[in-house]
Amino acid sequence: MPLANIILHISRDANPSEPGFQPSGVYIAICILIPVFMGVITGLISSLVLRIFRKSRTKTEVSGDL
Amino acid sequence: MIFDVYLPLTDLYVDGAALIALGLVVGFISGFFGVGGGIIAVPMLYIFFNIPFPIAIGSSLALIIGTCISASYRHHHFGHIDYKMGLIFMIGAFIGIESGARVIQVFKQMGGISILGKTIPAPDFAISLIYITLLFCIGILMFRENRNIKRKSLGIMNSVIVKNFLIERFRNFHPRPRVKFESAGIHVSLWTVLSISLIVGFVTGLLGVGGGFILVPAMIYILKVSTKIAIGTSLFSIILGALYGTLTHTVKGNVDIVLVTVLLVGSAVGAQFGAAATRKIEGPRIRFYFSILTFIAALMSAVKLLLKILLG
Repeated sequence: MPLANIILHISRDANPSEPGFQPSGVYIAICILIPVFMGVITGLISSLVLRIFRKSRTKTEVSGDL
Repeated sequence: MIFDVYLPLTDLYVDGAALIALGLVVGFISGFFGVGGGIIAVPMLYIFFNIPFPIAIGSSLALIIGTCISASYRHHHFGHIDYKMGLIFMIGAFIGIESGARVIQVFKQMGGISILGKTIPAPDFAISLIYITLLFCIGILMFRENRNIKRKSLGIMNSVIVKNFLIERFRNFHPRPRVKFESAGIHVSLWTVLSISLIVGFVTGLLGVGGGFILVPAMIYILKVSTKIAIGTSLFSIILGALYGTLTHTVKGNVDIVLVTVLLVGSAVGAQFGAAATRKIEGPRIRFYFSILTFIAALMSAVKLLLKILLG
C-alpha cells in the first residue's frame, strides 16, 4: 500500500520526541485534508447508495402496482 | 488482535479492528446527538489503547472534522441544518475559542494546587469542575423534561415547558437587530445567538471539548429550535472549531494521522447511521437519550480529571 507507506513516513518525520521537532507543511496539510476527504467521500457514497436504494424501491413498487 | 496498526507518534501497536469499532460508536453518537464525540473518544483512547492524553486530544479533534462532515452531509439531505444560524455560531465560536485559549495562557502563569501529592493547574481543576457541574445540570434539566412529558401523557401535568430563571431571562432577551432563521423557523435577536456561540466557543477553547453538549440544549431550550434542526446545525458549526483545534494540535505534534485515519473508517460510517436514526426517533425521545449521554459525558470528564490528578 504505497499511500499507507507515504503517510507512515510523513508521520515518522512529525514525531515530537525527535530533537528539533517541527512538523512539515505536508504533514499539517495531510492532518487537515484526510479527515475532510474521508468525511466528504463517506457522505457522497451514502447519498449515492440511498439514491440507488430509493430508485430500486420505486421500481419495485411500480412493478407491484402492475 | 485481528490486525495490528502501528502508530508512529506513540511507537505503539494497537488492534485495528478495535479502533474501527470505537470509531463506529463515536460516529453514531456524533451523528445522533449532534456532538463531536471527543468527550467519549479521548478517555477511551487513553484507557483502552494507552494513547497519551495530548495525542488522544489532538487526534480526536481531527476525528471530529471527518465525523461531523459525514454526519452533516446526511443531515443536509434531511433538511436538518440551518446554515445561517450555523455560520453565526461558527463566527462566535471562533472568537470564543481564541479568547478561551488566551485565558488558558494567563491561567498557566497562575500556578497549581496540590491534590493527593500531585500538582495540577488550579484553573484547570476549577474549570473542569464547573464543566462537570454544567453537564449534570443539563442532564437533569433534560431528564426532568422527559419525565414531565410522560406525566403529561398520563394526565398528571398540564405543561411540559421547561421553566428556569436563567432560561426565561435568555428567552425574553430581544434587543435589535432580530434575525429570521428560515430552516429553523424562528425569529430571534442576533445578540442572543451571538452570546450563546461566544459562551460555547469560550468553553471549547478553555476545556478543549466540542461545544455540542452545551450548544444542542441551548438551541432547544433558549432559541426553541426543534431537536433535529439543533442536532444538524450543531454538527455543522462544530466543524470550524475542530479544524482550528486540529491545526494548533498538529503544530504541537499531537495529531497521529494513522490513528485518525483508522478511527475515521468506523466513525464516518457510524455518523451516517446516527444521522439516519434521528429520522426514526421522536424529538423528546432523542432528548431523553441525550440526557443519559450528558450524564456519561460528565462521568467521563470526572474520570479525565481524576486521571490528571493521579498522573500529575
